[in-house]
Amino acid sequence: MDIRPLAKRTQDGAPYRRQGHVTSQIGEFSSLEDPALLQRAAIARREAPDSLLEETLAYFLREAVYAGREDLVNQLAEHLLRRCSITVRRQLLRQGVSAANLDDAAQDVIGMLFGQIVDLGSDQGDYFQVRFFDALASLSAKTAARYLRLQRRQAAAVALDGDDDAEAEESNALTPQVSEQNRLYPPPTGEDLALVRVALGTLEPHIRQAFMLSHYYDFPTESNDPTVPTLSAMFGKTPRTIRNWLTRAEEQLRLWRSEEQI
Amino acid sequence: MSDQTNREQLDAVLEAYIEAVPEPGYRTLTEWIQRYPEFADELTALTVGRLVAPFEVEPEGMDEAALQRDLQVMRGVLGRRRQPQAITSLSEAGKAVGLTSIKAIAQRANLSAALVRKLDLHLMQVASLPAELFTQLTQALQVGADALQQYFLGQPMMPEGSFKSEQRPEITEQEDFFEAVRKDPSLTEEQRQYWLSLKP
Repeated sequence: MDIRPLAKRTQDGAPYRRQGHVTSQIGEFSSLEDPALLQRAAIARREAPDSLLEETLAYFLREAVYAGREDLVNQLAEHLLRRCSITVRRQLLRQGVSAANLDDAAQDVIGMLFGQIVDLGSDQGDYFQVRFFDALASLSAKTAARYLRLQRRQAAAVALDGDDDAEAEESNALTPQVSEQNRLYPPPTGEDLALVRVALGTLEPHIRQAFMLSHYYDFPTESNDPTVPTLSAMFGKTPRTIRNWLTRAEEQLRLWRSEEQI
Repeated sequence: MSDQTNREQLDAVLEAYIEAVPEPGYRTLTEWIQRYPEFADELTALTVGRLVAPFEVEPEGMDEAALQRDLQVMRGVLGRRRQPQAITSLSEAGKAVGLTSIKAIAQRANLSAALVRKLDLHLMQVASLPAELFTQLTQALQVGADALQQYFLGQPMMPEGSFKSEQRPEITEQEDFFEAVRKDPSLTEEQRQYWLSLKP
């Protein structure tokens, strides 16, 4: 059976192409009866030999729409959702969406994910057949960006109301303690990484994220150049508040080290 | 810039970024933001998500309540798709948007009138229709792809005037789209090459 080619094109005009192992899997599983196909779709471990890759699952889901096979559409879609529901939430949190907005943001992503895959009039969903999890990260990032703008507006409104003053005042007191040295350390690996994960787990999520980006990836707190990314702009907080967060993180990690005798 | 163009450009930029920058960092992020300042938030969110992932302790198991809410959203999306405005024929759908003849539809969709007529009579195998054909026809006729797909799944019909009995006989044989393109003498060579280039 012929495999329907992807319609979407890159910025250079080249057609999108599925990866070789995805094409092989589609070819191999195209002749399966529905029960056997669904049995493989239910195996969520990517490395399992009988499991359908998510890219392959997206292909069969779209093909079921083309064929008007509604029962198969529903079942394949549910298997795909079960594989990625938790990933969507994790990605959004990492991308800076607050816990309060997480559910709304996740549902926006899920709606767009399935809307794009089953929309036969659009090639928007083609990337899901090329690199499923990169496409999902991209969709999450677009959604996260929308919520980050909302969160910044909310934070600005809170600051105007004066609720942020206490934190800002505290920042003033703590600012001199912040070291001005270059904070760039290579990100840890292996056992060190496992230990760092546990230590960072003691921090509040937004402080943990600011600390990681500052400490390991050299994100500046602020900049005179409005075109460069800064922690202050990302979180919609004043530079003093960010410096306060970083100081609190260092204090808390120092305490953790002494308690754990590391 | 229209919303759609903006959205397509954003998709293209994020996808190009993923391809070009397998290991992102602050420097590469800044370079890309300076190239695409209008997408700074999206590029930053994508990068930050990738940078902090290795540091996160992933909780075991799935949040069942969250999954159920997601399933509801997914079913809603699939359900809405199943209620398309039904198409009675391509020529009728064309008339609704000012394409008053099969030839006009063909011109708008980069096809020949003969091919549109075959599509109108469900004489093509749906499985052989390329995605690009759906894109062209949904744009030309301003109909949903699902409505179009439902229409193509209808029983094949004999052309008007090619039968004598009162009831229109049914045809069971349908043609492969690319085979029809290959044999259609009314397509220009450029059109033929274009459609055949989409053959899997």
